[in-house]
Amino acid sequence: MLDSFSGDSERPAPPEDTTRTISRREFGRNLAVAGASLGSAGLLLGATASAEAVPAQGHKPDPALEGLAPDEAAEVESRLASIVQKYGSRLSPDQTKHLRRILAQNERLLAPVRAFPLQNGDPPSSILRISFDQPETAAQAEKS
Amino acid sequence: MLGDDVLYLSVRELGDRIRTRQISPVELAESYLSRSETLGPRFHAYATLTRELALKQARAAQAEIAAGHYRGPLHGIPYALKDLVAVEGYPTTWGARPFATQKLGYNATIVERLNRAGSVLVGKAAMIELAGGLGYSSAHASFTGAARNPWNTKCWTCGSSSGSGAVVSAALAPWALGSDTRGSTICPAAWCGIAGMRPSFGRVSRYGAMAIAWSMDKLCPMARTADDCGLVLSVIAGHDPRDIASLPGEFPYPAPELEPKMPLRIGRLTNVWNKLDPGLDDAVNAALRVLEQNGARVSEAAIPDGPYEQVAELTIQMEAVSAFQELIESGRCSELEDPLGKINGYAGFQFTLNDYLQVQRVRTFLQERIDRLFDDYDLLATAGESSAASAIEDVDDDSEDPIEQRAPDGISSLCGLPALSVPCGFSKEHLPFGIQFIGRALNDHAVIAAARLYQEHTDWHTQRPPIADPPPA
Repeated sequence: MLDSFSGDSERPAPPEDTTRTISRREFGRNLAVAGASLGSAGLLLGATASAEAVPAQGHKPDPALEGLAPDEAAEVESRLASIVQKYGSRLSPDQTKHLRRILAQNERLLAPVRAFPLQNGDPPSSILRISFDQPETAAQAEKS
Repeated sequence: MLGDDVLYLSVRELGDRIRTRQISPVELAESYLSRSETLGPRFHAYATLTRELALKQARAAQAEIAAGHYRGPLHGIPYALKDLVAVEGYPTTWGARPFATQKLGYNATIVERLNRAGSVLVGKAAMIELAGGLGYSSAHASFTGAARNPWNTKCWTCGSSSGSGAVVSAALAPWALGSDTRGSTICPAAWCGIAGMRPSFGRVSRYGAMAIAWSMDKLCPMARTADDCGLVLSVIAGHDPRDIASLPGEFPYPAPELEPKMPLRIGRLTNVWNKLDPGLDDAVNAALRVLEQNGARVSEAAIPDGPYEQVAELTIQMEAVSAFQELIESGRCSELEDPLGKINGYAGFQFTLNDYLQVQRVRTFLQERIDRLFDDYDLLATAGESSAASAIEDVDDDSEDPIEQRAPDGISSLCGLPALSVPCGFSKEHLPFGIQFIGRALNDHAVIAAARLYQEHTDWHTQRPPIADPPPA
């Protein structure tokens, strides 16, 4: 099965260390950009969530978003807004905060995957099977 | 009732005694049932006991064997099933309150196979809700309560095959079925001081078993020895057209011709785990010295760079939100026990199609990188888990932990590799340590051979947890 995979020995190497660190100062700077880029996504949030998503000037940035690049922080807020819009009535304020932390962690998971160099012909590991066995009935199985 | 000396025997030894009629299947089933009824609640080991079915199957086995019709090594042998596998006529709860009364009107393929082998089902083992499919943060994420470790009931068994680990460790059955999407068998095996094997992806049919992540779910034997895992696998493995990932052919065992030639080439992984218990590290080194003294060649091996853990975690999350879409959409995920499980699905819905495809495209490369490692090694070895069992009350919120870059279970599960953990010592608190062997995809015989060789020269697997004998019935 593994023989069919295309080799990657001639590919540019992906980033060696996929764990990024970021200083608090950088974080604050990034978040300011993130807040600016929220646009309409931020408006979808309910009042509570919205206030949490974009800290007012002078407020501490949300630690849940620490270490995220501006576009990643913006995506967290956009995705949280989408959740709140559809399922907000089911969520307590604490759960909304928890969801932001989950979404931020998902961004951290996605970052090195998105940075991985891929080319047009690189297929996903899920492939289509074009032949199927005939389902064996329980009675046939019992006989065998 | 049979005593501990019999109930702690391996499947192979029990099978020999049944075949030679030294033990009757009915007496054996009665003994394990009685022990399960007495001790099971102490460990929150079971979701359901199946006394009526067990005795019916045991009587049938006894009659057949008496008539000279011996079906094989699992004939008349009791076992427990993780409660995510469908058994006709009994609840299949998936460990989760929203499914507490669920009854599936058919038998899973694995149950059909075990029925044909003449096995005796004593119960359905407790588990972490949805096998952790929507995430969980503590041992309490099960509607049957936190499973308690027979070695110390203030400690957890690990999950998600939490009840299966307790069942085997406390000799409530000689083997139990677990499942493993990313570590759910290897960790409970290590923490409970038993053998647990994750077969190659596709080796065992999952038809009739709850899905978390179709591209990563495996069903797994948990037993007293590596040899028992091989015996059980020889019965439960085999092609099934009802599982699209099912591998062709059967799984013969024992099969010396399919095992790697000596010397076994073992790569001791040097760059896995963020933090490893120093005592456990020593125990793994000592275990590898035993193997070296018995013909293995051990050298250091390193996992190549790559976002393994991220791809594994994302694959599970993305597939799980599809598998449990109805539960999440309906809002009934709020009935789950764990705070993370109640809401994680909403976050999972936010992944895009492109996110998923990107993850699966990267996965292809990671598989190839790991496969190349096996050009130099028959097996990779490391600790079964990074520590001995943790306290029941510990909370570990996956959604906030630092990402473990090269957790062996993430890597090997992502790539569908076989792995087997066996006990290799004890912590200062006398909790079991485990060593795991990881093989190339499809090379299940290699991991069994290495673990079996180790157990032939050590006796950690014969140690019993400090459980008082149940009172006489």
